[in-house]
Amino acid sequence: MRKRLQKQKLSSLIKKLKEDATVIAPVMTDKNEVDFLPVNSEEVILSGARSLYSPKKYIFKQSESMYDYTIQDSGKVTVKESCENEKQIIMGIRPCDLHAIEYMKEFYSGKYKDSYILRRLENSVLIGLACTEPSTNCFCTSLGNSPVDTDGSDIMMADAGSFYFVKGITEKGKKLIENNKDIFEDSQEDDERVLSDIKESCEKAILEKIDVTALKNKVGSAYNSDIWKKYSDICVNCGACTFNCPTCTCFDVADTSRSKNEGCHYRTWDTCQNFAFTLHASGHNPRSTSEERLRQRVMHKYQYTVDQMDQFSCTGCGRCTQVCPVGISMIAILKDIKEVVDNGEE
Amino acid sequence: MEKNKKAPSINQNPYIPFFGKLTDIIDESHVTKRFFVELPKGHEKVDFIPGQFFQLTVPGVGEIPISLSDYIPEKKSLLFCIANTGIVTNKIHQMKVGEFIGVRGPYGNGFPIEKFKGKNIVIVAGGIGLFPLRSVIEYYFRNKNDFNKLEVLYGARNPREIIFREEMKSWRLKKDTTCKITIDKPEKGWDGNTGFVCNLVDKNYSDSSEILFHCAASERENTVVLVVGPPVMFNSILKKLEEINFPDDSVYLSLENHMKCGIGKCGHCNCGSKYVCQDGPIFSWKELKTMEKEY
Amino acid sequence: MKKQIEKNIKSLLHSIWKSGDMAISWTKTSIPGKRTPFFIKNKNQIDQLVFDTFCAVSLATYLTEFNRKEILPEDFKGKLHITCKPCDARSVMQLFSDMQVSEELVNLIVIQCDGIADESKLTKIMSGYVSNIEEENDRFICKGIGGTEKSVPIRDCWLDKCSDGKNCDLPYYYGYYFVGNETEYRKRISNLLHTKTDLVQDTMSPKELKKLVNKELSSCIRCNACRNVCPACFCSDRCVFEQPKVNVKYLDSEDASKNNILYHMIRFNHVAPNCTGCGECERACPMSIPLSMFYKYFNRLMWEEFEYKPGKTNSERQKLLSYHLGEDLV
Repeated sequence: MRKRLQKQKLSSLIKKLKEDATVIAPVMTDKNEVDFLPVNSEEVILSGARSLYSPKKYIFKQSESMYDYTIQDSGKVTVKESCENEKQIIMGIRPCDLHAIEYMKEFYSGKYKDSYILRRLENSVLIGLACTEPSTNCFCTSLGNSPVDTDGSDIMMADAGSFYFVKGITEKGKKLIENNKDIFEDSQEDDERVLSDIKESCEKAILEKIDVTALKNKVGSAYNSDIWKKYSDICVNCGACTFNCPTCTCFDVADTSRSKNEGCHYRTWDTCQNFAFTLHASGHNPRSTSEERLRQRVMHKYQYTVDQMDQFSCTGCGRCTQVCPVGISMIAILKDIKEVVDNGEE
Repeated sequence: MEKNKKAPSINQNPYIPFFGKLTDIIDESHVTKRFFVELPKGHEKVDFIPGQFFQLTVPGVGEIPISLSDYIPEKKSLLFCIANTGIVTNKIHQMKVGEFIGVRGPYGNGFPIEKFKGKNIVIVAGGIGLFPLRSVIEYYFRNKNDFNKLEVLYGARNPREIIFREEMKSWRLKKDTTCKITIDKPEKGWDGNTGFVCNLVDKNYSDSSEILFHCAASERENTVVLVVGPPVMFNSILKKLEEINFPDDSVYLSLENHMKCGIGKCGHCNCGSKYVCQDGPIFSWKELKTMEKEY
Repeated sequence: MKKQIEKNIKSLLHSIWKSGDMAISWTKTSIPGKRTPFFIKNKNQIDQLVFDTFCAVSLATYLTEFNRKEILPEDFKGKLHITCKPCDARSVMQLFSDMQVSEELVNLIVIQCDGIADESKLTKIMSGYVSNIEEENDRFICKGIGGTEKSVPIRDCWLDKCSDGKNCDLPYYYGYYFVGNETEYRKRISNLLHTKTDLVQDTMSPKELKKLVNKELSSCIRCNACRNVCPACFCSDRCVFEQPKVNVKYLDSEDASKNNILYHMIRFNHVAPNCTGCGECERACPMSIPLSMFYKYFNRLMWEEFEYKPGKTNSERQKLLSYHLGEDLV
């Protein structure tokens, strides 16, 4: 399904969508940073480079209650599952973040299904936006992704000058377009060309490129190399990279009591860069050094998930590099890995 | 396990526990207790493989993984043996009979017990590592005809921390079963073995393992070794087994990485491309050799 | 000028280097405007060091136990040379006075600084994309999308502390090397030091202030970046937030934003007495929370109450941890 959305019609579309769902889209915050927030209509920013913050927080919340418990007088405990059924429409998600959501969907499925996240995904409509410009730190092409990928989206949009080229991808997305068909216009035959144009100009501007796909299944051989020490010396072990990463899925679980008989079981984001993350009750720590923890983060993204799910859990958004307070660059690490792998093969 | 593969719907929330009543609490050693948890209606049947674990919840305090020591179908109850080591276990130790505790599970792969049939079983445990192995021992006695001999090699820090004293006495009396105990340092009133449990798998030690060193070679080849204990302990055991060229696919270990969710989502127990809670906690030594040393 | 300073640092290091020494400095990364700390472990690495307008990371944090324990090479037996801007030098002084690092171990090299630019501010001005940055007098010439050029005044990209100037003064310490022209530097900063900076605390009512604090801290994601880059945070793995036996529920709650305040207040109370105002917490914060607004206020209070400024010397005891007999406030 292909449509056109005139730019001046965007606000009326949002108004319409707001009638039965929360609409989340990139807006400018008072800190002069683009962030995904619930919007009203006009202020949406659907241009420029990807935002510093990913929309991950609307799928995998920074902190959420899993269930409430009540201890009755008899001592019996009853549990009430925290259940969100709110509909949300997330707009302007860039292809890298769409890939990340797709990854998350697969990760949280499997033998045991994470009801909270999968339910939230079921209740969300994801509207993608092709990237016309990269940011300084972007390297999605290195992972074999492209700035116009549609995987993971329900609807894909692309800036075509005076209008957005709109493509319904899933049934959910097509239905949304159908329901609002008076806002959209029919597309012309060669509208699809806008995607290849955007792809070409955006990819040209990406500063860093290194063929990571050629390293698939080989990154593990750098496990024992000395490159980790070089970066772990500098790393201060904060979790900025992991919390801003759109594919980082780790969480911590805890209980809290509101009163003597009531409370909840909740989870929060957690980071593998933290010393206490793997600390055993006995005091033994499998990853006690900064070097091991930094290696864990990189290996998990480029090797372990390849073993488990046959895909990288990095989408090349470059946010880890952008937020690192001491300037550690993922691309630099990948370049070093490549060197180690290449030397090993010779 | 395989039977359970039927994919659940997303509305079957795996994080929600059911609550079982504590029907009995027995002091084991000065830091450990036994807890019998009665299974509530609708949850009476547990498909359980020795070596698997459950997630126990104390409302308002937290959740921890605890290996199941025994499942008693007649009484519809589970036996957990718990050492008082952290906030949650401390709270569990303060609980009284009649209180309710959250349970979900069983999780993990468990020992591949079918593969052990017709074989000798050597159990090596350090400290509270014997707790999860109790289920194997019980399984062995219940299905005695399927197996050959059993030997339990156990090391405790001191005589006061020895667990399953009574059981060990009765195990000793049974046919084809031997038990050897050692404590870390010599102590007044202890006339048994002293030294670490790895001594018992050292061929030069005076009271070394019967099955491994004092039987025909064919017996030794037909043996599996199950090791549960802290990493320092099992590494020293593996070293000794290496010395006698014991085959690595006949040794099984239980890893005890920090876990939070028990179902491979929270990422805490991640070790290489494995999640210890889901792909483990039981790994063969052969598997372990291919894994990253992050346990 | 800056090129000359960089050259002088290198030649200084070459002349004082003895085998077994180590140095901490900065180097370039492949990303325009991004500098990263650089550990020089043998003499021939000295020439790779870089000093320019973008060297924002304070290296003093690597002297705290948090970050020090794993970085010293096994064969280390000499001195640890550390290149510092004057503001970072004050953080090192504070670590000396708090006896966190031995003066014997560290050789301080203070560099003349004309203001440091924050790469992330420049990136924001360039709407997220910079492919090349050239420095010309007091402006950056940046290349953006499609090769478009934009000239940005360096001052617009300065770290807040550089325009504030409150911690540009050199410490009272005779053990450091100064690279650059010290008289010229002192002249430049003398005006800055005496200007009064307005803080939000001056103009806002407690109620408004509370609202502001709540709003700002609600975006905290608890990544610990502020703590880990802080040269005044040296509790290492013994930090209260790292203790597995401290139940996280006191520091966390199902509504993350609620207890962020608790986290920051614990940190604030802990660190404020020895905070030199280096602003690293604010620079490191991925959520751009203006954390230094608390610390600046506290610094000023300390000055007004005790005439005490952390990081001024290498031996002054922290005012909130020491007292004189007969003091009113005891």
